Amino acid sequence: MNWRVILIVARKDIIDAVKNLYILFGLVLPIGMSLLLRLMFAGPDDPGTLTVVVYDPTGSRLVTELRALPQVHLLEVDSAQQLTAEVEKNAVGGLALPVNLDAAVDAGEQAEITVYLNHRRGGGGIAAFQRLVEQQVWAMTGQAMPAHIVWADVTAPPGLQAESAFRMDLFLLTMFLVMALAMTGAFVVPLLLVEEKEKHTLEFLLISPAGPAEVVAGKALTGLVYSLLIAGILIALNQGWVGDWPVTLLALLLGALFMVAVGLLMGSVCRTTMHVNTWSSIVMLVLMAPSWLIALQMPTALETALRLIPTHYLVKVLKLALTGDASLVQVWGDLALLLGSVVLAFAAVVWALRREDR
Amino acid sequence: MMNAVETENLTRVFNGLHAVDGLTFTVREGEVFGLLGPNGAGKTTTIRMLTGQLRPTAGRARVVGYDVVSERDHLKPQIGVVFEYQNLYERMSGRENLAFSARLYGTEVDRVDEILEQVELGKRAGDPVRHYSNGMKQRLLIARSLLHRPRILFLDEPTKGLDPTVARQIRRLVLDLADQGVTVFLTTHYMEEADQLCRRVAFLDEGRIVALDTPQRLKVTYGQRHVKATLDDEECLTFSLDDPNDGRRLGELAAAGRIVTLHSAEATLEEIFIRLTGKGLAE
Repeated sequence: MNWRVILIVARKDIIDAVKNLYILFGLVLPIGMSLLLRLMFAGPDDPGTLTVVVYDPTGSRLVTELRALPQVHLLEVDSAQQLTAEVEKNAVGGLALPVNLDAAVDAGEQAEITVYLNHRRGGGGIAAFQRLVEQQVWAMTGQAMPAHIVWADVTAPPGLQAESAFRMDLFLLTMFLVMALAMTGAFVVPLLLVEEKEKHTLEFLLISPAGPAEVVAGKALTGLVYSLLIAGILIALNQGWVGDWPVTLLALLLGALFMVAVGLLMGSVCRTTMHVNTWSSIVMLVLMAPSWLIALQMPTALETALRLIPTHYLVKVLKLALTGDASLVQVWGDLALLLGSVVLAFAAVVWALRREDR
Repeated sequence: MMNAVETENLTRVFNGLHAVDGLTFTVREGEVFGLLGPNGAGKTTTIRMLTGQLRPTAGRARVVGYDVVSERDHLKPQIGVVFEYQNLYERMSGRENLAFSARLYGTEVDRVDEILEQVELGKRAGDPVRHYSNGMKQRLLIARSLLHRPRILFLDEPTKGLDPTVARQIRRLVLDLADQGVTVFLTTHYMEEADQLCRRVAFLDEGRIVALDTPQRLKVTYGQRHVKATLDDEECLTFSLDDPNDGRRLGELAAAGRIVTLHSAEATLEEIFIRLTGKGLAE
């Protein structure tokens, strides 16, 4: 493989792709939808003042920080029971801090903070409150997640509060990330290849010093660059730079590689743009399905079926990594399955390439 | 002088059909060589094998000394190809198309403007190719194929679909290249074009070469020697120069002062092709 030629092909595609309105639409669609949904879910508390209730038995610096924030109206209560009642009545959410939280954080222990949410206050306010809590807890040490956050819904029946606390912002972000990777991998990448076939420019490339492997690698690199760029924009727009970065990046990289390999396979099979349009919509639906179904209680058979789709493991890892709850020990199995899918998909691409070569 | 192209029993079979069937020929360095035949005769398949795009089913071919199968990577920088279709990046400008090609071949990008001037596209070099006329695109294709200074240029139907003025420009370009010593291998089904440009031509029919020589020698070998006379009553008559009776009758008419015009009627390449294959080039 000639890396100089791969970079030249990728550079041409990166610049030329966005001149194609069809491809540009595919690339910006997840960003546009994400912005649209953010506007739709904006509630009365967003972006104005957030009323937050706190039960802090031993005086934590987390509360001092919250008190100093201009967008937070803090209500302090004396017991956990008072906290849930106050949240339900007056606030978007509340925090029940454990005894000696600061000491536990300083000692490197992971204390448990229960966060109560009032879903009657609107999705936008809830999402803003969740982001705020994560950012503030994160800021306590700046490194590993210093506390384990348990989300609980005060509007749900007692006993089911923790299970029913639904992270809409996280759900949407995960969905849009998977959508961005699928759009770029399974739609843009095959279009890049098929356009070269349709316009016969592939023949020009193949009589030049670029061989089939360099052309395909150039397209893969283009897909990878756009996947990671759009994923980065989505994360920046939706939650800022919080979360477990090494695991998030690793998951996104493996996810992008898998989708790109799927796209290359489609590109080698499809002959026309119309074929790509037809097949990519079906393939994208399958690949994105785990990100939509993540929030639902599903029948066992469906859950088993979803495990056959590699993006199921991507969604699992992203869900944990974006909240900072992931540790490599916890997600290595899912990452290994994702890596295995990437290897298999690229092996199929190499096979298709050798079959096509003259 | 070495051969730019050497083929030996070159064959390509598609689904049991012989698209190219046992071609054996040579093209000398610096020669303009034409492969003539109707659509489907195997011209493009031959070019695709000679440029390393298609693996021969049987036989061998060497182009500028390199085997087209085992030495394809060495061969690529030595050849330029103008395809039958205008396969340019339409959203990119003319200059961007050439700069991309220059980077691929490792040619100095400075040469782009020089060659754009050579094909008279300098003023429109910054425009997207989709706004170019067919003739401009064809000139850009030739510029792209010459950018890396190939030793042999393959032109597949270079004037197909072009208006006569542009076709004439393209032919002029080919003749200039020949003057510069570039070997040109062209396929066409325009006989006049081949007659005008090529030092030697090969007639291809159903994948086989049915004749190969200089146009002049083909005309002498396969053509009929005759003259056409127009008489004073506007009647047109053809006389064979090989028939004594025709010669006598022509003399009588000339003596009677009845001949108004007299023209030699040399056979065209097209007539020879029809005579050899029983079919026209447009078929």
